[in-house]
Amino acid sequence: MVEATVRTATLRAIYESMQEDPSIFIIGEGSRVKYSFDYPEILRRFPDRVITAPVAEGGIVGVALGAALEGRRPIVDLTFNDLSLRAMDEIVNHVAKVHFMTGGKLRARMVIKADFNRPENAQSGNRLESLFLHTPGLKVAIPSTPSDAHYFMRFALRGDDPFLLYEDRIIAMNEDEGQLESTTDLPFGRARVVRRGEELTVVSYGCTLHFSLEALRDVGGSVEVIDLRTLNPLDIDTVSKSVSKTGRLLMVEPDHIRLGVGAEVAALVGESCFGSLTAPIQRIGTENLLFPAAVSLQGYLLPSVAKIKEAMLRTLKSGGRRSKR
Amino acid sequence: MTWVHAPGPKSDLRVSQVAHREALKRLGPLHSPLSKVDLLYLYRTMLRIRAFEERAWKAARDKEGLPIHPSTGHEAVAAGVCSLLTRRDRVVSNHRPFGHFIAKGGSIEALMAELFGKKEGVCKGLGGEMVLSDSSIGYIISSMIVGACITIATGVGLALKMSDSKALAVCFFGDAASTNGAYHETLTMASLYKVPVLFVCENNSYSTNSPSIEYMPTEMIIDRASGYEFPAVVVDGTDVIAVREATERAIWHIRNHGTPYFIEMLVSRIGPHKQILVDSRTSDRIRYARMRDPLIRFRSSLMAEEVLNQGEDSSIRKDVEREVEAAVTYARKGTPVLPSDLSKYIYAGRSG
Repeated sequence: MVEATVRTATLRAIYESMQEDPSIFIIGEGSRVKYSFDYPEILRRFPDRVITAPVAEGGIVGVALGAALEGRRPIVDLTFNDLSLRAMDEIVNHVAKVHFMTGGKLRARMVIKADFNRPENAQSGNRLESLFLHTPGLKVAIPSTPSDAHYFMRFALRGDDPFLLYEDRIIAMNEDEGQLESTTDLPFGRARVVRRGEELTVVSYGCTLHFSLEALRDVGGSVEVIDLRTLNPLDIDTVSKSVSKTGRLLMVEPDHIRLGVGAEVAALVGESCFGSLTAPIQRIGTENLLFPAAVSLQGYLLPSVAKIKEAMLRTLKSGGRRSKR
Repeated sequence: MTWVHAPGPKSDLRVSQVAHREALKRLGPLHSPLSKVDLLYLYRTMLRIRAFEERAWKAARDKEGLPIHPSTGHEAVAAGVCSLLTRRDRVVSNHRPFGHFIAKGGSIEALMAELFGKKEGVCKGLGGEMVLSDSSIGYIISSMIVGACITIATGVGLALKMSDSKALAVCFFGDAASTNGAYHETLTMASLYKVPVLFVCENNSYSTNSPSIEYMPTEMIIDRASGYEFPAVVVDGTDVIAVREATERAIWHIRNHGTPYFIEMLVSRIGPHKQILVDSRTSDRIRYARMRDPLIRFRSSLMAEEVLNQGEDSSIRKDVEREVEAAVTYARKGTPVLPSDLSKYIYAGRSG
């Protein structure tokens, strides 16, 4: 199914899943108003299954978990992800762990849906996905295309584990996704090779995947581009296979770079295919500074198309020829 | 369903405490008569909790089991409340969960095995002394994190309401949980969605070793439980009969008015916060707690009323001790949790 945008594809997946499974409900701050604007069909069809919650992020996630333990399938709409910090205990200590702690007796079958704002100031537009990768028990994914957005939500709402699904607002309303559509459906947990190449592997996800493809238009050379799609599980096999072929890795990530996805990918690639590398691994991401509020500096810290292009050219030039074994 | 707070007459959503009192008057005396069997059931339940914890304490000292958070002094609350619940009713508890688990019908053998880190334990040895779960008796979960049980119980109540269940959920938490944001956040939601949840706050006036006066603005929780548009009452939680009466009213209210209900149970913790922690309370405070021992109080009442005599008492005690000792044998024979078990339950579904 090809939908216009990541946002509408997500909402459509929610609507379809709610039709099939009466245990699914949506709970979040301002949800009834929000969904009546964004996808009125959901509210029209299931007026009792969209609940507006008070401004109480931890309470909302905890209540949703309780309902999940009692057989419901909540979709928690945390609106933008900066607010998830107020629900850290519920997400990390409870949602992620109940299955383990009860020896598999309980399942937190729920979806926590949060958006990444465009960085607007130090408290709004932080990505924070890396925080949630540090805890086993959660499944974390960031769709880059409408078809993935649709598939992830459908998959999560049939799954047995807690899912964190992020909507990257920077690309959520993009309409021209033709170049990213794939005819073969890859399972959840597998990365997608978006473009084939021989000299450099670029690994990315979310908005920076789109930026990377844009940057590539002006970069000569044979570049392979991989969309990680899911961050937990992290499909390091697909990345390693590619790096074994190209010998060069550039990680492009939207989150703050320190201890981020790129650091993990770099470490794993270093472990799995160090011998294939012909150049140092490069990372580019949001600098370790806080997002400024000044209009003139907005978007400054995120890796831009220009910065990615420069990094690609630099990485392509670096290193020597790989010794054939 | 009315829990969606669609605009409507406000009076619909309110059940004031005045209305509650009037309803009680209309209904007359609520409490059903307690037969000798009922009374001895309560007594035996309290004894079983006490005996289990004393034995678990010893097992921890002998390095066989985990150190525990004893609920000595709280037994009347667990026994009284749970004696009125059906198997379908749900319980969500906290870091001091043994009383609630045993009173709800949980297996003492599985509980001991859990403390001994055995696969036969309540949570296959992976939950420990605080996280317990057994859906077959309606015991959903207990969590170590103070306050978390309030949010989870409210969610359980929401799900019960969504499925038009007749069951209700009981949430046991302590005084310290009432200072956590989860308390206010979720009582707000519980009221808004009118969930069938009985909030039972066991106020032992200590957070670990800090007296309530040091960390709470009000010593009584009810002062911070009265603004949520559902009834809130205070009860002597060391008096099992009072606990039972209050619970009976609460359950009646929840079933008939469809709102949450709040009972503050005043108890005194006789043991330390946790087995391995120093109890820094003054000896006077500990003596005071012992003087409010719910078991001693109930036993002397039963004897004074000639419901129980010395012979019956010692035979019940022997029974209970045998049961607890059998649990230790069971736990010792169990299979230890192995490192290979640690990766089994991180995810329920495929891929991970």
